[in-house]
Amino acid sequence: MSNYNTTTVNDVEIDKDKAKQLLRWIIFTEKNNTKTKAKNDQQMVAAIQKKIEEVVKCY
Amino acid sequence: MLLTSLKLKDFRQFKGEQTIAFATDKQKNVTIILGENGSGKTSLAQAFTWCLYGKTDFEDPILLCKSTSQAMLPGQEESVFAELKLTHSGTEYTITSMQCYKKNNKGTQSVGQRKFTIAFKSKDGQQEFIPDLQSELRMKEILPNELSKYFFFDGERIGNMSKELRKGRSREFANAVRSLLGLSAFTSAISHLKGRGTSKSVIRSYDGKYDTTSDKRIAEYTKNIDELNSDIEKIDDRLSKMEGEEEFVSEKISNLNDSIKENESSQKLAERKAKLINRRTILINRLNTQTSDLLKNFNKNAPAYFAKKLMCDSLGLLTNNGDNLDKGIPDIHARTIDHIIKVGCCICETEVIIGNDAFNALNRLRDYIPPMSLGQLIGSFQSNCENSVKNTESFNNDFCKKYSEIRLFETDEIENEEEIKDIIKRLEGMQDVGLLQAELTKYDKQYNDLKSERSSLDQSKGNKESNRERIDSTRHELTLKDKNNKSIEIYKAYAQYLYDYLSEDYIKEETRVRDELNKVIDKIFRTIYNGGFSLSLDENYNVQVIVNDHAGYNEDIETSTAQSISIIFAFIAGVIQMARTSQQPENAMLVSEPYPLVMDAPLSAFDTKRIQTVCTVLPKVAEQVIIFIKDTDGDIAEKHLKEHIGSRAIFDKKNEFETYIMGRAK
Repeated sequence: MSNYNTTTVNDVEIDKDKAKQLLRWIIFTEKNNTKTKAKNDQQMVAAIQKKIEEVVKCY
Repeated sequence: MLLTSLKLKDFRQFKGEQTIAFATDKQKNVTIILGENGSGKTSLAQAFTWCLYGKTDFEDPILLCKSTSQAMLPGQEESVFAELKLTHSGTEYTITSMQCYKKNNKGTQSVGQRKFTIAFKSKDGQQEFIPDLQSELRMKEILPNELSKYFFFDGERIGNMSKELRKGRSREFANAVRSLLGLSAFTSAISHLKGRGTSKSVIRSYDGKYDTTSDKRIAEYTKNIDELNSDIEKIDDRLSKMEGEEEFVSEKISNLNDSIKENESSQKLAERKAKLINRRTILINRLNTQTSDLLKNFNKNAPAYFAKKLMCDSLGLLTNNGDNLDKGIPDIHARTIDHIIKVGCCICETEVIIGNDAFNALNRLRDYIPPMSLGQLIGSFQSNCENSVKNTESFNNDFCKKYSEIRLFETDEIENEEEIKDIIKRLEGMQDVGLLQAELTKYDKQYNDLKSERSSLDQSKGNKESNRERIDSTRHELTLKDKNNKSIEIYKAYAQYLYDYLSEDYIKEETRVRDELNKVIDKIFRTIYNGGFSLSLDENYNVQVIVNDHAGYNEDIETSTAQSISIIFAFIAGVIQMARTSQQPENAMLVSEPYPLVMDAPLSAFDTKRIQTVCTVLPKVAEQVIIFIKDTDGDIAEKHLKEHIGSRAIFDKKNEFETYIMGRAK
């Protein structure tokens, strides 16, 4: 059921709170990685995918 | 990025191994290196760029110390290296460039490839090496080459740099500035969520994860979308390459138009020159014809003209004594005399014997009778003389007239020649407008070709994108019907949402950072150069100088040397200050580093007032300042920088090939 804190992208309802949580995580991770270069691009893509799946599944 | 030390081995005049440590203290962050002219200040400054990027501005590509090189024996090998220790993003790096030199048996030196390595201290304190293939990339991340010259710069070439800053830089330059300003975390996140074309990204990866067993069309649509993505990526690559080509061609067209304008008068001069050369041929031909006519006339009439007096005198004499001269006997021929002498008796019966009086009298008669009829000859001579004298009457006038015509042609020809020489001299420094025009036509065509190629590519890209959208939408309808695929669609939708959100945020943040940089640069510029000007940055980070006191005048203006120098300092200082600001916690998404300033002879181009301003501003703005100055500027630098100086060094120049870096007390 839609509420004020959701939006729709490609017919899929997006929970903005989940999205906010993801954004915070991505910003933190990208900032760190820019400094440390610990992960390459492919690893970063995999990490973001994993995080999206975790967060979206949790709710 | 903070520079800790630089170790050199046999680099140019720095013989053997020599190390210089730099001031890294927050308050005392200035390192001053003094050196007389030719002692190696520029060499040391160039050692930084060679170490980091393998580039120098030296005309001589041989970096090996000449003194070491001379001492090498055949077969001996020596190496040049520069090792820079620095801290970047909290990691200690050791960046090394090394090049080998070998002398063969004939004494010729061969130069090896530069070997570039980056080592860093890992969290456990162990030294690790960046793989060779990634070294250049890591260097780009630490400090892109495009921007390095603004941090390692030569004060004597600062004017050119200012022009470059104002001329219009590449997209790469703008990206490098954005990265220094801390926006690279944004761009990485955006690229990781949805990279261009077929490159790996979160959204693209999900395309390959669909369960195709529920509907075979999903696999087909995915394949179509992959192909379209690949095509679009190719188009994007071409469009991106074309940007550089278009920039190059546009710059060429603009420069050629400027040159044509500057050299417009050369076209008129060239036309005049062609006319004069044509006239020269005509004049020479006429001169030759006239001279030939003059000579013909001279050869024909001059002897008679010069003999005129003689002929007149002769004619007068002949007229007066004509009767006396004609003593001939009518109808008597020389053969008659011969007959009389032969028979030995005259018709008057006088004996004629060789040598007697009669014989002699007869022989004298020969002069007056045919064939030597003197009367006839004289008559003929008279007639010839009269004619000749008559003909010479106009010779003088004709000759003088012809000669004056020739002189006129000669004067014309000399003037013509002088004008040609003058035009050639004036044309020497000018370019041929015809050639420039031909070049311009070539580039105009290239520009139009690029324009039509871009238009066709844009159209093709648009078609492919709408095609992809249509197929994606159809696939989307199918995938939503299947439980497994639906969850992938949900993840994709989140990734898309994050991508859109960050992209929008990036535009806002980039604009904010650029505006902020604009303010900072302008403020620093006004501090250094207190004239009625301000600086403005466009979206590609090109600097424009604006006149403050003339409302409505927004054109970029030509700058003086002092302004140019101030622009470059303001830009560098502004970027450095912004890079420091972006480290502050309120700038959540910005990641940047403080940067050092390494300056070769920065004060040489400034007047006393600006030296003081620059010396006050730079140590406050930059995290670290390394400054190479002439020994004669030492006092002024000490005076204005004294509370910021953390390290001092001086070059001890032994000879042209050997300099040693020595520590120096205050």
